[in-house]
Amino acid sequence: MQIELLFQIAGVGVLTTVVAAILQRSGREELATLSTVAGLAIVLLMVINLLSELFTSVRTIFQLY
Amino acid sequence: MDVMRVAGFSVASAATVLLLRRMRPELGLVAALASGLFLLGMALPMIGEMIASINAMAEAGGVKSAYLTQLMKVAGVSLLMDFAAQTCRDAGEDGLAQKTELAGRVMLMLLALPAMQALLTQILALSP
Repeated sequence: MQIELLFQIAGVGVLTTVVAAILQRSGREELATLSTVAGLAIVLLMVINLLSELFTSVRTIFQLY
Repeated sequence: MDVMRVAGFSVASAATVLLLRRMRPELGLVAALASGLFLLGMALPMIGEMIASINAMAEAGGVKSAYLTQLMKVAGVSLLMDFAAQTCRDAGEDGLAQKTELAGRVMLMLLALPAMQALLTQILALSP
């Protein structure tokens, strides 16, 4: 079922937070923000094809051409 | 009918989204969007079956299929617009949600115009 993707998103979120916290502790604030942005980008890429899948199925079901 | 699957899934995704929203609000939003997409993905096949049976009944009842496809379009537009507006509201952007709903209403009006014109011409034809 597709719940693995949701837990992958949670995993990426947790990892991003940990990495950002570690980078902040070690004094590199800009790297921390960069890692947060990278984590968000990865998660968005995961969700984007799901979104297009939903849009195409809605289009075919409701004949929304 | 996988009621348990849908219910269990929504509870699990609610917990996940809550966890993520506490740590990183933007990831919480994306997780909420993903779980919303999953739930809609589960509901869509059932909606498809329902629409097929409604179409069959309407064909038997003699309703013109042009208006039926128009009706389906209206349903699809409202579903997608509502989904987008709820996601914006979930992110805390109420202004954005209102504007999305406004765009949705305008599109629905546009879809309803041909039916209104047909109705008007028929009414005018009746008058002497």
